[in-house]
Amino acid sequence: MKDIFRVRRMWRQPGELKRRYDVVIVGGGSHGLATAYYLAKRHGITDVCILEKSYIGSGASGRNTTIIRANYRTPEGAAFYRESVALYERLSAELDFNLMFSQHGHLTLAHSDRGMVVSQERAEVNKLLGIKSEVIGPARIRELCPQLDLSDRPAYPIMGALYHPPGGIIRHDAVVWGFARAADRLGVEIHPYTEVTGLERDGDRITAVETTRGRVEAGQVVSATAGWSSLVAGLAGMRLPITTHILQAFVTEPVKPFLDVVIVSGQLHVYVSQTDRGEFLIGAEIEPYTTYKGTGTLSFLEYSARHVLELFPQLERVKVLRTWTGLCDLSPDYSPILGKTEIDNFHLSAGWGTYGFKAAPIVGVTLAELVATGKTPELIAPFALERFHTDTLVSELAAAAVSH
Amino acid sequence: MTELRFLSPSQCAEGSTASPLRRALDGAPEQVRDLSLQGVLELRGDIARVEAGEGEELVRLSPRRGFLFTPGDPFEAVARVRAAGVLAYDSTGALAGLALEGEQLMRRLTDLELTKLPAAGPFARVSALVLRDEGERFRVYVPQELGHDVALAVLDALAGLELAP
Amino acid sequence: MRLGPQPRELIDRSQRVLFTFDGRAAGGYTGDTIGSALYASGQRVFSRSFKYHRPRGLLCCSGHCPNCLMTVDSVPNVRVCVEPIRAGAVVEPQNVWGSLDRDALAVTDKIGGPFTPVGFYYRTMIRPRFMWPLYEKVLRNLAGLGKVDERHHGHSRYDVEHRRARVLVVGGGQSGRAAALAAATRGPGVVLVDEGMRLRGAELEGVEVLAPARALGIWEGGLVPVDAGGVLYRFRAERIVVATGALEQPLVFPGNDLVGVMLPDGVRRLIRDFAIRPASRAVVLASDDDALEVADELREAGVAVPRVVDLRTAPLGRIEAKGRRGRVSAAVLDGRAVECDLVVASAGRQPSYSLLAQAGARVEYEPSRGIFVPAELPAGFEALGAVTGEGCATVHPLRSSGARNGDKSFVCVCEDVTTKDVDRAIAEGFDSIELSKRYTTVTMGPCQGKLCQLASIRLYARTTGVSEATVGTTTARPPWAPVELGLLAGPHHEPARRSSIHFRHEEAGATIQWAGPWKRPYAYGEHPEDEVRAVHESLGVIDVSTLGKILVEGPQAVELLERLYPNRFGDMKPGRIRYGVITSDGGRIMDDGTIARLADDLFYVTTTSTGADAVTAWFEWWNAVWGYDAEIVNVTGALAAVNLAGPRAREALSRLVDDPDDVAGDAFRYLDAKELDVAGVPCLALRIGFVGELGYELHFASPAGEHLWDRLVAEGAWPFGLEPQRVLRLEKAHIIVGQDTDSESNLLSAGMSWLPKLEKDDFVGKLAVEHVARREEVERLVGFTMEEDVVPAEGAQVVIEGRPGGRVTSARRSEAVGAVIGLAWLPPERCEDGTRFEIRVDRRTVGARVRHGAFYDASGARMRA
Ligand SMILES: Cc1cc2nc3c(=O)[nH]c(=O)nc-3n(C[C@H](O)[C@H](O)[C@H](O)COP(=O)(O)OP(=O)(O)OC[C@H]3O[C@@H](n4cnc5c(N)ncnc54)[C@H](O)[C@@H]3O)c2cc1C
Ligand code: FES
Repeated sequence: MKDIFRVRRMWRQPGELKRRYDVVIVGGGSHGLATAYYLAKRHGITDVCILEKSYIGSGASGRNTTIIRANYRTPEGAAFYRESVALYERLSAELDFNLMFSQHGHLTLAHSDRGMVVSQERAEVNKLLGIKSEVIGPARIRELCPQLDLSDRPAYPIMGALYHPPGGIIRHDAVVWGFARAADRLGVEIHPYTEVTGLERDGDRITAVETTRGRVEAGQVVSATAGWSSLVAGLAGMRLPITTHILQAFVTEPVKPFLDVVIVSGQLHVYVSQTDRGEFLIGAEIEPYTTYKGTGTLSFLEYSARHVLELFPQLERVKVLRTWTGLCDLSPDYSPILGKTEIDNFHLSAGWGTYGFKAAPIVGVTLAELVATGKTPELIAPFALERFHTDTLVSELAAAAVSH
Repeated sequence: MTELRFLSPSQCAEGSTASPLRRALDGAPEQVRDLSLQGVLELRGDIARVEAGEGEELVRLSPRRGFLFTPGDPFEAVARVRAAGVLAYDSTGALAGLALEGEQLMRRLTDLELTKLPAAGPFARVSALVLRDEGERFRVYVPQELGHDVALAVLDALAGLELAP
Repeated sequence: MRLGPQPRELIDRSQRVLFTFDGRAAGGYTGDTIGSALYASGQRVFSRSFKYHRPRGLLCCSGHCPNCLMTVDSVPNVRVCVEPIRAGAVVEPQNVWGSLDRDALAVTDKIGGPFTPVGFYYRTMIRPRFMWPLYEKVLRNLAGLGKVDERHHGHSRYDVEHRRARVLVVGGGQSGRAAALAAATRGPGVVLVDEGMRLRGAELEGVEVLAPARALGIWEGGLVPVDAGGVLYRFRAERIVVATGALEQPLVFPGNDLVGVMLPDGVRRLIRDFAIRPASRAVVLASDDDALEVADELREAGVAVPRVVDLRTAPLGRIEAKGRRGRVSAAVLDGRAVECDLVVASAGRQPSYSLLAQAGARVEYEPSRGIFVPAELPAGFEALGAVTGEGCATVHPLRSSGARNGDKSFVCVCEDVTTKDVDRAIAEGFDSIELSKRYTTVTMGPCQGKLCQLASIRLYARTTGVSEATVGTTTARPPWAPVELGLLAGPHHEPARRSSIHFRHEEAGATIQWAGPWKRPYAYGEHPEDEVRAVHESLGVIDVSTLGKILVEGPQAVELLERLYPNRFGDMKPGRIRYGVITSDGGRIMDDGTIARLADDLFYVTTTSTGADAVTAWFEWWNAVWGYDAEIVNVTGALAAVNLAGPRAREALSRLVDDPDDVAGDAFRYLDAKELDVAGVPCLALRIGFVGELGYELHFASPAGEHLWDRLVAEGAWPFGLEPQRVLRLEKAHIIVGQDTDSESNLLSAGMSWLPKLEKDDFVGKLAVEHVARREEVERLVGFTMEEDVVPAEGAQVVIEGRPGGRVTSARRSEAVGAVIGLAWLPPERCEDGTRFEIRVDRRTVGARVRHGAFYDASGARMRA
């Protein structure tokens, strides 16, 4: 209890960069920080630095809508995210930092029989893997979320839903800070405002990293730069099958508890949750065009508002408070690109599109294992960059497109 | 060689065709009129070679694309235009047409610039071709399969204006 | 409580307006706001704060700060200081546990001080884990401001109007008005928008005045949405003049949030606009001349002003407001107490540059004046008056030196963040303004930092010892002011596509469902199997107008199609039809349909119901890339289409055509395309067999839809819907793209290795097909029959050694086959005809056997009949 009142630094003041680190992690988002933490915690590798061009969590990790769930479509995906959710469930205690993981359930609505089939398919995969997931009808939806307009009035009446009880939302900043604090305490160096500007390559190896604060040599390099992944890989002369798009989101003014579950509608391209602060957190589909420019559009707001009101007409007088955008690194099959690359000591966490935040802990665990042992953990083998050469893609398209 | 007769409502037996808007516009106020089933051709090719006849109106969307509105039998107009070396397709059945009156009504439904018509763009959330006639009179053409909802949106917008002070 | 008539007052004293407040009768005059009426009637506490439930009173009186949020007619979070009074309105305080004057949760303020330091929640309630949902429930109930009325099923009217202007002026202060008038002398098309009450009904020559109305931001392409109540104006202007002025900034000192501490402009509004005497004794702490004038206005209004301090010349290190029960009772200035019931305090004015920043202007700190100013405006924008920094300056807002225990100096009133919270965040290592903002939530409340951004930056700079310029601002995020979801949403229309026969289906009582962008009949009765039987035994008709239909015409139409499709078309004779599949460059199946050659240089292509637009775009894209002389014309909407199928199809058709010989067996063979007049309607008739019986697809002008449909039904054809069609096609093992295939499926594994003609020079996706042919096969799509009479879910898993090993994509019970049949993806080694495998159904597994070929009429004799 006393710790609550003592003012104690979350992490050390960053010092000078050393000449060399065993592991250099590019990107101080949830994935980079988690990887560093698990490297130190599980493998005792602490000669690690994180290079972040802005402040930690400044990328998608601090901008996402924090939906955590495991009910993916492919067996490969579902098994992977299942492990991540399990890690998240224990993470507040492990990091001794309350991440406010609120698991009130996640409903993916279906408004057509095609939508029902897609839900069905996910439920079947999930059940077989021991993930709580089922298709429910309007009566059960009404019990779980009486606020939804289940009548025939909406343009897209609700036919059913895929219900995933362990799904929920979390405090994204807390995840970033929790990992950062824990990694820092184990000896990892975090260097904000340090941008990687070059990767020195000697044949099949990266030897050093150029930064805006000088050059550091690296034993191994991990890129966990999400929206910037193709740029960073480009520094090593590698091309990734990734395009970068923006995703927009907004919150409303806070109101008293109204909605406990997370509601997603693929057909309406919106999703809604209510945070513990009382704000409605609303997002939509990724923008179809590629850009690094983070300016939002009015049409997004109009479109999302319209579709939220299809689901919850009672909210028409609730006011939009703040909108923002974040970058998303989209892969062709909507599955991540994770693990080894053609460069021996350069590893990737990329291709996270609109759904990577929920993966942070398992990415940390598996990438740390890869870096420490040199072996690709089985869980992430299907997501290897190599799949684009072997043509063995993992299609999450039906599930991931608008489902975060 | 086919004449694509199956595209032409005018080739259908008397009394066998009907407007896509007739249900929606049943009893509509007179600011809204149904123009569906009036002849229109979609043109492809060197549009400069098309000569508009008596009462016809040629709308160019690009040098190689356009529409020809015709008061006559569009099936015959297709033959005439094709003879001039331009591909033409009877799109009478493809479009639902609405004649509307009032700039403000239009502004409630489209963000097209009303001084720069004809133009193609969104109208009541669907893609449309919008033309301006004398004064504040406009014609709007939308895909017929969306026509019913568009007509309802127009009527709703009218109701909104009457509510407005 | 009102003063005598004021020269510019907004109220009409002849018109009383009555409403209820907190269950009691309340009143004011026309022209009042709910807030001014309440203030005039003696109400001082307007709300309870977000976290500590401290009493709060009017502060800015301009609709920005959070202090007057109430629930009005069950709409939460209404800023009553700017909400026009309405007869009969029901006004209720919100976020109070008890009453405004006695809020039980105010204990958090008393004991909470030490208990709720910033970041408190992150450090507590972690263990035991099972308790968290309980803790969370409590937290959730504490959070939030107003309450959404769950019974309100709104659908209020909201309209959107698209507007153009030559010049759009945002802000109706002196400079805005002057700019508008000047622009109006050069022609029409000048619009002025102002969020205040003052300009309501104002007339400026040649200028359209919208007030009160709010420009919400500047979006893509200079789009400016204006919130005018029930209408959202979407303005596009040739020139946008931003004259949004400046915002008064609060001073930060202990007790600065007490009821009775107000910003000068707020006080001025009460006097000038509403003729209210705001208090009896006031202390004025001014940082600019405007604020000094307020002292005079107060005196004129009969308020004693025992002390006026000009903070520019007489800097006070420490200011403190003392209170009784949350209301100011004295101001302590450098140790000397002055009794008062109003403290008018401001640190000066900061330009409201948000709109400009959103439009792309850079923002710079000017140390000499202590303000952020916009610099480098983007083209097409102009800034005028105070927003440029003209006449603006602030003194350092922090006046809390010599901090004592128990001091509460609020940096952010919206979020109840004190100077201590910010200091603590910095000490903990949240040492960039963005991090600190996220940790303390300063600037994230209802006013979005309008009243706290500057103070927090300056506090931050002082504590960390860096300059304000280095600290920088946080990103300006639209909207400028909160806006109702309903207004953004606009009218409630979701356009649906309906075939020209649609209403016949509704009249026949069909169950209508969404299918992609279309509304379609699922089935006409309770028993889709009856409709299936009708097709097999007699005659059915289905509306397939939703099929995509594309004409491809031109001397190089053949070349184009040969290169777009893996199939061959060059060898097709006019009047013949071929099945085709389009694949992406990666060899993935995108869409399928039939291609009929109507003439040497004219093809008629059909696509799936959802594919028309995408396929048209795909064709056009490649045609442009390759530069072929071919035109692509999407005629999907121009044509209705029906599929007349069943053993009686020929007979029925022959009765509707002029010459029955035209449809005789040899005259119209399987896979022939032919123009025919049917019931007086010219049709393109395609003899194909998607549903497995003798069938004709008739494509004809949409306007004749109902007529032809009626005639076919009169001939005894049973209407059938999508569901029976799915059964019928499954019996033939015909795939549905997007259901049986997914975004990664390729031709070879989908069992269509016969389709791609690899000897062709090139076609889209050829490389990929070749690659797939070389690599090891991963899975294959095959048919199966169930061993038991159970229908697995579509998506059911094939279980191999307890793990997912494949999946079912389609499954139905077929009367005609006498079994449950389906399609599934299986590992290649399990795809031999007759191989047994297991599918998970509910909680068990059920056996199934692979079955190659069609389930029904395997030879195809019936559809070729
Ligand atoms: C609006 C929005 C909503 C989303 N919603 C969800 C959701 O509900 N659920 C979900 O699971 N996922 C969601 N996502 C996706 C999710 O946020 C991301 O996939 C995830 O956060 C990626 O984490 P990361 O740590 O890999 O990347 P980031 O957090 O983006 O971190 C990458 C970091 O790399 C840094 N960097 C980049 N280039 C360099 C360089 N050259 N040198 C140094 N540093 C560099 C960046 O500054 C950044 O901080 C959403 C995304 C957005 C934008
Ligand atoms: S005062 Fe409103 S957000 Fe801080």
